Formats: sequence, structure tokens, C-alpha cells
Amino acid sequence: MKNIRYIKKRIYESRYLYLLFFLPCVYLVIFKYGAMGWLGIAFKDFNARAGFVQSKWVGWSNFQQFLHDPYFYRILKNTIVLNVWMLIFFFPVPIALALLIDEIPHGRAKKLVQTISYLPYFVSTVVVCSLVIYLFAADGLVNDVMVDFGASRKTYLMDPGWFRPLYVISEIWQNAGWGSIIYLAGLAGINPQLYEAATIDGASRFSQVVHVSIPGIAPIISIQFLLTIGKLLNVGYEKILLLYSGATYKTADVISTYVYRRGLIDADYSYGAAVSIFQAVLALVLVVGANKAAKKIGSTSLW
Amino acid sequence: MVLVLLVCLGSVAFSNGAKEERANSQTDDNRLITITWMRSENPAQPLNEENKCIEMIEKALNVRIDLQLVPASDWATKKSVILASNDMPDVMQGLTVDDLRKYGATGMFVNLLDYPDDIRDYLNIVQASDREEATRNFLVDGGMYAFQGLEYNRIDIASIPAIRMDLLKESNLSVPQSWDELYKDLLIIKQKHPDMYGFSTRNGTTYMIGQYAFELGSGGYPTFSKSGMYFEPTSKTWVYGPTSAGFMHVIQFLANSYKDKLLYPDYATMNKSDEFEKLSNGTLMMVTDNNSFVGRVYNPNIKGKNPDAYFDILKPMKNPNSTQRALRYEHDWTDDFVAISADTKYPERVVKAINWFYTETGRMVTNFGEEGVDYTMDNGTPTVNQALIEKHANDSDVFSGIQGDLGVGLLGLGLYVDESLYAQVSDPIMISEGKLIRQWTKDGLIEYNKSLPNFTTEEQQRITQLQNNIENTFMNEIDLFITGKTPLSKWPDFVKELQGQGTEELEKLYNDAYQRLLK
Amino acid sequence: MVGERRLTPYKLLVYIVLLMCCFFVLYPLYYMVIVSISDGYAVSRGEVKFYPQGVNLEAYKAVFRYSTVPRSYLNSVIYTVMGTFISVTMTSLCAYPLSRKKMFGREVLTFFVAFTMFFDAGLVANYLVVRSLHMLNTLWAIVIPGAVNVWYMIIMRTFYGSISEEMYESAYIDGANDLQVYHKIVLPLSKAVIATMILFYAVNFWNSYIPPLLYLNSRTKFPMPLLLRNIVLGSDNISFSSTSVSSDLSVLGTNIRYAVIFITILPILLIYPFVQKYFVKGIMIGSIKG
Repeated sequence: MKNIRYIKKRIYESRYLYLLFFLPCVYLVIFKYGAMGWLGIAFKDFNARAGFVQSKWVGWSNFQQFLHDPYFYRILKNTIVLNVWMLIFFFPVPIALALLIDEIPHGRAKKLVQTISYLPYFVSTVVVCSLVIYLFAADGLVNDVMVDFGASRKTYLMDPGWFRPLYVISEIWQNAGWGSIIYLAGLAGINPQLYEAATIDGASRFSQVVHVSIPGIAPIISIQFLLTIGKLLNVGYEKILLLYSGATYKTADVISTYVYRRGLIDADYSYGAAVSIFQAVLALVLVVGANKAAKKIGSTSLW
Repeated sequence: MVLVLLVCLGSVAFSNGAKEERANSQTDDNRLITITWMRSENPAQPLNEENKCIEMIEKALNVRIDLQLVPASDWATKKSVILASNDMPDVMQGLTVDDLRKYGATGMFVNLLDYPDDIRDYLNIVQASDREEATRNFLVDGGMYAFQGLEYNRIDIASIPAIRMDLLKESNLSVPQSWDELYKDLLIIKQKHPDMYGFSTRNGTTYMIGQYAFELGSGGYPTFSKSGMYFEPTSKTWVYGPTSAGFMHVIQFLANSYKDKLLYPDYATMNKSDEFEKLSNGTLMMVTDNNSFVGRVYNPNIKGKNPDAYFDILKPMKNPNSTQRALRYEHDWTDDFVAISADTKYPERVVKAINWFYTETGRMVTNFGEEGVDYTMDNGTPTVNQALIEKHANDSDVFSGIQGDLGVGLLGLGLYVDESLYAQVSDPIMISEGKLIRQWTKDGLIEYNKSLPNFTTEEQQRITQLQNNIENTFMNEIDLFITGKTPLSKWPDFVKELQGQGTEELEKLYNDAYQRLLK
Repeated sequence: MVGERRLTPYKLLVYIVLLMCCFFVLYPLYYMVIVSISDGYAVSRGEVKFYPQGVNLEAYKAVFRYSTVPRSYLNSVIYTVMGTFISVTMTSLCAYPLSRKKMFGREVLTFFVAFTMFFDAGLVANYLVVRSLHMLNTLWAIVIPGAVNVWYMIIMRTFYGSISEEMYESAYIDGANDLQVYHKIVLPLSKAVIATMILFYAVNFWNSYIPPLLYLNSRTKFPMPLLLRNIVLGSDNISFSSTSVSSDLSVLGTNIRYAVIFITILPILLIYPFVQKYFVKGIMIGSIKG
């Protein structure tokens, strides 16, 4: 009895919040959950003319096909490992960049550096890959410079061991600047009095960064981290398609490129949907776990 | 939560099925009808949604075309989504053989054979002896589900080697007659120009194999195919190239080239513009590709730097089997099929209308425009009016500019393509090369590429599975052989490994299907 | 920034690192600029490395020669402005309630929202939804389906979450309800976040090409990215179709592709200064957890 009254009271108190939430909620139901039902074709043999309802039911066969594929472990491993590399090497860069830019006194220099840092975001992936290939070619700039330093010529682009570093470097170049914007916005929100207090206490600038700036943007860092974990099973195929070749399949071939290649021979929506569900379920499990861990250590969590 | 999901499942399923049932009405009267027509737009030839060609079609047939243009860069995505959601416009141009086979039997397209009297002109052309086998190959369950983009008059092109003739002359070398001689010549040129490389490729390792294997006496990955299966003319069967005996020559050629630094070290990731750049600035000595690029790209570019430099094509050379042969693209286009939606309101009118494109009148209109205004007949050869040429003289490509303006041609509404216009406005090298290629084809030195045979659904599924595994195995190892990381002595073991993945079964599936076609 | 103008070793290190980053970023961009204004032939021979050759604006002129360019530009502006307005509003309406502890069922609802991030149904499904709502070939198909980006929403919620409870309490004491609190207190305080969201969504809409590709049929409604992608990619046919000899035939210069990039970047460079001024410290004074 008391519980129901309590619940009713809480709901009543939040009524305006529900009002505000209503419109986005409708949107989500229609466009996200409505479309999600479509993923059911993973359990069917999709026939475009017959449509969703009348396509033949095949149960788990699409999933089995995927899980029993001889290359399954390799593409799963490559997808996850590549994302872990990104987590270790890419994730801190926008944060560091934001902290560095924050050191510049306000004015034109700061704006200039900020603008320069995010310009690469607008260069299309195709061009970025062309640039990578151009720079790291056997007769490209990087090799020329390395030879001047006494190293031998390498074929970076056909070496499986170099694929991940090249991928991460191109991602950093393209996205780190843009990624730092959110942290800069966060830094702007830190109360200046905290810095003043630290200065009065005699803290060096570096120490201020560590003890004021970073904790100040800790919530954002935490959330970004959790969201990135949610994407651990997903790697877009566009960039890899342009940078890889048979010689680098060992490390470069990920779930999306594998499915894409398969799609060439037979554009199989059912199979694609099965793979999507697999990735989504795994990602969900990871995020739920990470979220619990975040709550335990007291940092900001998703829910 | 589960309840919500179930509701949504239902609503989506409902929305999928709720396509308006348009009554198929036959109309005998010739009143004006409007049809939606979707095709891709190539940036080299921008089109307008209203153009001269469409006006003339409306005048002649009382059919107004509502053109829906899609950027060529994303045509595959759009086409795929439109077909998968069963939301076709009345007419869709630009389907591939695969689309035809996948969606034809589902009832999404009109079966042209239901209207035999209305497509007389088209049938006369495609059932003639030179096209008959290919046409039968494109039937799906006995039905003809699309019109094909056909070639009426095209400057012959083929994917054959072209080499820097000036470099040969410089070392007093005559035009090589055999692949062995060619290899020696490349080495000699390399000695003189150590910074140059012999050749590369623009679409990855399998594309490169496709470029060279056939001429060397074997085959695999012909033109843009991603499969090692190819049609061997001497045995008239389909063969999996890499496991066949003759392929040894191919892999030897490539591995030696890499070792002797004739093959560009980063060949696997090189793309089109890179290759063109290297050819245009004198880094590469030769290229085996669509010869139309010689006159349109490499030569004009390289002349700017070195007026004596030029590329020219090589007659098919003697290979280790002592034969001479080369491959050219299929006779007609296999990625430009025109299908009519089965839900269209007046199928008979539309079928009749598209048939008109293949009549002489229709052909002239959709390739040249209006007689007297856009072109004149000069002794039976259509000649473009000078005014039009001048109007587009500053376009990056005069030919495309004129065609785009009118809305005609291969990249416009032309289905029975006549490229005589090209002869008038483009590089004489293309014409002379075209004549040579035509002669060599007549002499039997150049073969047309064969399209894949038609498979049943079960066959196709099995083939997909096999090909998936075989190609993955192949791709993993082939570059190691070419770059020398794996010695060629291990090649026979690799062949066994591929065979273990089912190459013989694959060959049998192809040949069975092909035999069915021949009956 | 607290006025420390002395050059400490730490600061010096910072500046050096930033300078290196700038160079790392700038050289490729510089390369693209000089290529875009160089002579086509010199570019295709790869002769342009450190300075432009045969300077001309032919590449840019070639892009603008497409008659639909002005119209596409206008379309892009319309889609971006409308889309950004709708998106930022919706995202804010979603983020704010979820940031308030007092909202009953907050955790469940957040999960409800975040769940949609994992299961992306794909292009065909979205197409079917848009079609069944009869939005095909209209402006709405562009601005509504992408209205809420859940990732951005969660970021926004995090920012809102840093507004201290004391602010709310004093407002309640003054008799305000949640709507008024949202309007009079939260919105003014979240200028930095809203500015950031405007920037993110605007760039998204400006560059987005898949919704226009799938949902629009008339060329007159196309935005810039479709046109530009076609120029950069259309003649390369990177979509790997099996036998595309027909599109294989055309060749467009590298200098044109790079010119296209700069045409795309330009509007963003114009928006950003407006957004930057909200990134000044102290804009959220008094709203921070102690």
C-alpha cells in the first residue's frame, strides 16, 4: 500500500519532466523501435517481393552460418583488437589535446590552433586513405625520411603488422581534433574559482591540470569511455576497405568488411541482420558490465 | 519492454506489405502517360531532368518520362535498398546480371516474353546469332525480365597491354612478339632507367591477375570479377584458374616481376588515380587495362612533360603455350539492364515504348538527338553540328558534354548505343586502336569475356559458400607468393589446399549450368 | 584562464607539442590546397609536392559549372538549419528530464533510450518506416529521422547533470515548477553545451548524404554532399559492382576532388567562430558541484 502511494507521488512530482520527455519518446518509438522489428528477418530467408511477413522462417540458421564460418574467430578477434587499440591509443588523444589547447591564453592564437586541429575531420575518408597510401608507399615520403635516417625501405601497406598502427594514426589525424571539442566545452564549465584556490595554495600549473581540470571533465570522460565500449564490436568498413589488401587480411579483416565482401556475391539481408544482432547483443552485455563497474567505482554511469 | 517490441514488429511488417496495389490496366488508346524512370548520373556527364531526348520521346510515343537521377557514387546502395524494400519506380535502368537473377524470379519485374509482339525489334536483335547464347543466359526461369543495354556501334576497346613505345625505340628494341621477349625488354629498359617500374594495377591483386592471366595462357578473375573462375576457350569449359596447370606461368611471371623490381612494390593498395599518376609521370613502363585510357589520359598527360613519350597497344603476344590471346569486355553491357516494375500501371505501353529505343528511329534519337538540328547525315554517317561542338569545347570531355546536354548516349537514355560521335570529337589514337582491336578480334586473337551461367537457387547458395572459402584462402596466400615471402616451390601444396576447399566441385557446378544453357 | 603570463618549462613543452601537432595536421591540408589550385596535368603526374604549379582556379570552376550547385547549396542550408533546430530541441527535451534525479523511473527510461544505440535496423528498415509515414521526397524525411542522436543526448545529459541541486531547490522555494526551471534556469546555463550540440548537429546535417540519397527522388531537392560525393567518387566507382565498364570510362582530376573538400569545409569555418565564444570559461559560474 505504502509503496503504491509512494510511486504515485513520485510520478506526480515528475509530471512536467514526463511532459518534456514525451516528444522525444514518441520519436524513439516510431523511428528506432519501429525499425528494430525489421531485424526479425535475421530469422527468415528474406524475399523482397514476399516482404517481411511472407518470407520463409529459418530460425537460427543464419546465425549458425555466421558462427560456424571458418573465419569467424579471426574477424571477431580483429574487430575487437582494433577497437582496443583505438581505446588505448586514440581515446586519450582528444583529451590531451583539449588540455593542451586550454593552456593557450584566450585570443586569436587559441582559436587558430583549435580550428586547425579540427579541419581534418572534414576531409573525406577516401581522401584520407589516399594520403596514407601516398605517404607510406614504398617510394613515399615516410620511407624517404626513414632511409635518410639509415633504416631500410619497408612496404608498410602490405605488412599485416603495420595495418593497425596505420589505421590508428589515420584515425587520430582525422578525428582527434574534432573529438577534443567536447572536452573543451567541458573545461569551459569548470569554475575558475577552483583554479584560483589552487594557485593560492601554491600549486603549479601542471598540478592544477591534474587536480582541477581532469576531475572537472571526469564525468564526460567516463561517459565517452562507456559509449566507446558500446562500440567495441563495431568497426566501419569504409576506411578498412581502402587500406587493406589480401596481404593484410590477417589483421585487417573485420566483421564489417567480411560481411561486405560476402554481400558482393549475394546481397544477403538476412545474414547481415543476423550479424548485426550478434554484434548488438555482445555490445550490450559489455556495456551493462562496464556500467556496473563504473557505478561501483563511483564515476558517472550511463544508467 | 517485450510487449513494445512485439507491437513494433507488427507495425513494421504491416508497413512492408502495404504497397498500393496498382491495377494493371491495358489501354488501347494512345493517351499521354507518365512513367518514373530511375537511373544513375555519372559526374562526367551531368544530366538534366528535362532534356531534349525526353521531349522527343514524348512527342514520338506520348510517354512522358519523369527522370529520377541518382549519383553514380552511391547508385549501388540506392538500388539495393529500393529493390529490397519492393518500392521500384516504373522503370529502373542500371541493374546488373546479379540483380536480374536475384529479383527476376520473385515477380518484381515484368516478363517481357509476355508481350512478344510488342518487342519484335528488340527480339530480332538479341536473338540474332551473335547474341543468342548470351540472351538465353540472361533468362531467369525461362522469363526475360529486362532489356539489355546493347552496343550498336562502339569504338572497340579491350583490356590489353600498352607500352611506352619511345622507351623501346630508345634501346633499339623492336615491338615484342612474345611474353618472354617482353620481359627481357622490360629488364633492359629498367637497366637504363632504374627508377622506373614495369607495371602495377589499380584494383588489387585479383584485378592484376585478371589483367595478365588470360594472355599468359591461363585465366582467372576476368575483368572485374572477384572469382577465380573463368571460361577457357580451348576446352570450352569453366575452369578455376589458380588450380589449373597453366597458372604456374602466371604466378612465375608475377613473382619474377616483383623480384626483379618490375612489379611496383605497393601494387596491392594502388588505386586508379595513383596508377594513372604513375603512368603519366613516367614511373611505369606499361599497363594492361582498358585501352581507351591510353588516348584519353596517359598520352595527353605525359606529353606535357616529355613530348616524345607515348603509349601504344601491343598485339597479343605469344605466351608459354605458344598461343596468342587476349580478353575484351562482354559484347554488351551487363550492368545496364532496364527492368519494368510489375506494378506499373500500363505495362504494355511501357514495354512498347522501350522497344522503340531499339528501332532505327529510336536509336538515332536516343544517341544523337534531332536530325538537322543536332546532327546531319553525311553519307550515312551521323555528324554532329559544329555549333554543338563549339558550345561544349571547354568541357572536360566534349563528347560527354554534348551527350549530357541532350540527354542521350550510354550515360543518358541511350539503350542501343551508337558511339560514332566519338570518332568525330576524340583522339585519333582511340580510333586507330579500335580498328586494330576489331581486326584482332576477327582474327581470333581476342575473345569476348563470357558472362556467368545461370544457376538455380541451390546451386547459387553452394557456389557462394564455396567461393567464400576458396577466395579467402586464396587472398591470404597469394601476395606472399608474389612478394616472394613464400617460395614458389610451395605452390603445388597451395594448389592442393585450394582443391581441398572445393575447387573441383565449383568447376562442376559451373559446367553443369553451362551445359544446361547450351541445350 | 587565470592570468599566468610567465613562460614556465611546462608551458614551453605544451607549446612545442602543439606546434608539432599543427604541422602534423597542416601539411596534408596544405598539400590538398596547392593541388586544388594547380594545373591538372602537373597534378596527375604527381609533380606538385611543396608548392603549387600552374596556379589556376579551373578545378573550382569545374565544380561550380554544374548547374545545380546554387540550388544544392540552398537545399543544404535549409536542411541544416531546420534539422539542427529540431534536433537540438528534441535532444535537449530528452536530456534534461533524464538528468534530474527526481524523475521517477529515470534509470529504466535511460536504458530504454540507450538501447536504441545498439540495435540499428539498417537502411532498408529505415526506408520502410519513412515510406509508410508518407514522408518520401519531402523535407521531413531529412530532418526528422535523425532528430535525436543518442550519443549526443547522453553527453548533453551529462552536462545538465553538473548543474547543482541547490539551484533547483532555491527555484522550487520560489514556487517554480519544472517547466519554468527548465526555461528560466537550465537553458541559460547550458549555453556551452547547446552551442556544442548546434555545432555537432549542423556539421552532421551538412555532411549527411544517406538520408537524401535514399529518401529524395528529385534532383532539385538534393543537397551538396550528393553532388560532391559524385564528383569525388562517382568516376572511381568505389562501390565495386561486378562489371562496371560503363562508369569505368570517365576520369576526373585529383585537383577537382581536393577543391571539393574545401568547398565543403568553408561553411563550417564560418559557423565555428560563433560557437567558440561560448567556450569561454566561467560561462557556467555558480552552477558547478562544489
